[in-house]
Amino acid sequence: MLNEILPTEYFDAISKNCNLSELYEIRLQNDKYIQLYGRFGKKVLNVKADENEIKHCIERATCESIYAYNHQIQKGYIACCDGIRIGLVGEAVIENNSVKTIKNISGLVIRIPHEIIGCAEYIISKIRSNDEIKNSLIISPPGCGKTTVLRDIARLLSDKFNVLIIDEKNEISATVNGRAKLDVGNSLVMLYHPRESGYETVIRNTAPDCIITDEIYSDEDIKRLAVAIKSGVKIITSIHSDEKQFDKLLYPKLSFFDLYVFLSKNPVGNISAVRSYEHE
Amino acid sequence: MNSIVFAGCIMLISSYIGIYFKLYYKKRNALFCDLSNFAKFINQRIKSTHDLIPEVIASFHPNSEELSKICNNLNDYKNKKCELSTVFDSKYIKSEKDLLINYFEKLGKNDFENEIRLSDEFVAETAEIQTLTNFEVKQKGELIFKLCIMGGLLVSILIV
Repeated sequence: MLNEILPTEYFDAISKNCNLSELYEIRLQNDKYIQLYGRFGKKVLNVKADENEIKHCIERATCESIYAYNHQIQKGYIACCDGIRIGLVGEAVIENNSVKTIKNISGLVIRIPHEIIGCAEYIISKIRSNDEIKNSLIISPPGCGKTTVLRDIARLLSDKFNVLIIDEKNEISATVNGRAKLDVGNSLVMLYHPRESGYETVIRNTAPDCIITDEIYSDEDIKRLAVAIKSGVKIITSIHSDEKQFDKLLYPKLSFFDLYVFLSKNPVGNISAVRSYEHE
Repeated sequence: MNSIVFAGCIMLISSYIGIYFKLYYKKRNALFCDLSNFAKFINQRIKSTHDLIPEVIASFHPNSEELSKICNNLNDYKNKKCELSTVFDSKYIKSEKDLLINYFEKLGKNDFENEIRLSDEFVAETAEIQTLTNFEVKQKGELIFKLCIMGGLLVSILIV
């Protein structure tokens, strides 16, 4: 898929300089050298990104149908096939206090998903107890493997429970034409559904035992989660934070979870702490 | 005897020319009628289901052979197998070629609002061309056909 998005020159340079299976992120910035991040750390290539090629990357990533990705572009990203997510950096066009589009795109952050089968086996032993699922929150700074862990949790839980994934950015399942390209077991996948109405829609229509979703962010997200949990459905989700900041700023708002799993960057996916709370 | 055979040949040739022009304008009209439907189809699919351009092109079933060729060429262009300037190489497309190239060059490269605007404009433009080609069928195709038959008949009578 990367070769379909990137210009041949960039793709050749990248594949010469690193093992693609170890690549997590590519950063292209207009007139700057291409940067790679992966299991190998950081690498800077001797190739500069160019404005026109960045534009062509976007056209290719959207199958030359930019309008179809309008709602994603407004939120600053493009979710491509195979779970690849492109973060967009440019000038936001504001209309009626909201972002209408992003123009003059000068940089792309291309994130490549990784599937690590079995990486959530330890966490699952904590999440499942006596055939019950605990409401769980995966916490880590960006790039520590939260989505990879959530995907494996979905795969493992879906053996026995009705698991539904609300995959807002198609990063968990990488679904193409209704088929998940990454292994999420028997989980059902609700794609690109905004979380504003996502929980209500899936709880009412698909009666899941457990909902898995990625990256809660705003206070509204938290309120919706609390409502969903009240309805009796179990929620497993993730949030960007670290142990210190989480305790200080987020725990009071997110105290309704039963289990908190902290991941760290060294190495990626490493579990730094697991906290369990039994609510009265 | 020779003059009768010669007159017959003249009649045949003039009829052939007449039929050629009649069919030419008929096929040109069919192409633009189909193209107008294609424009409406693209417009509707972009507006309602936000489908991707390659999917929209692949799911359209043209009625005319000419548009079928153009759709295949468009797929080749999208797969970087040919240039856009060669996609509309057809004897039935005259001055409209620039308009078509211009539209398909911009197609899919805009945000939703501008894409809809572009698509609406193209629907209106193709409808206008279709009206013109409809008129051509009656005014040019039929007229040339009749003139050729009449001319051929007249020359044949004179020869005989």
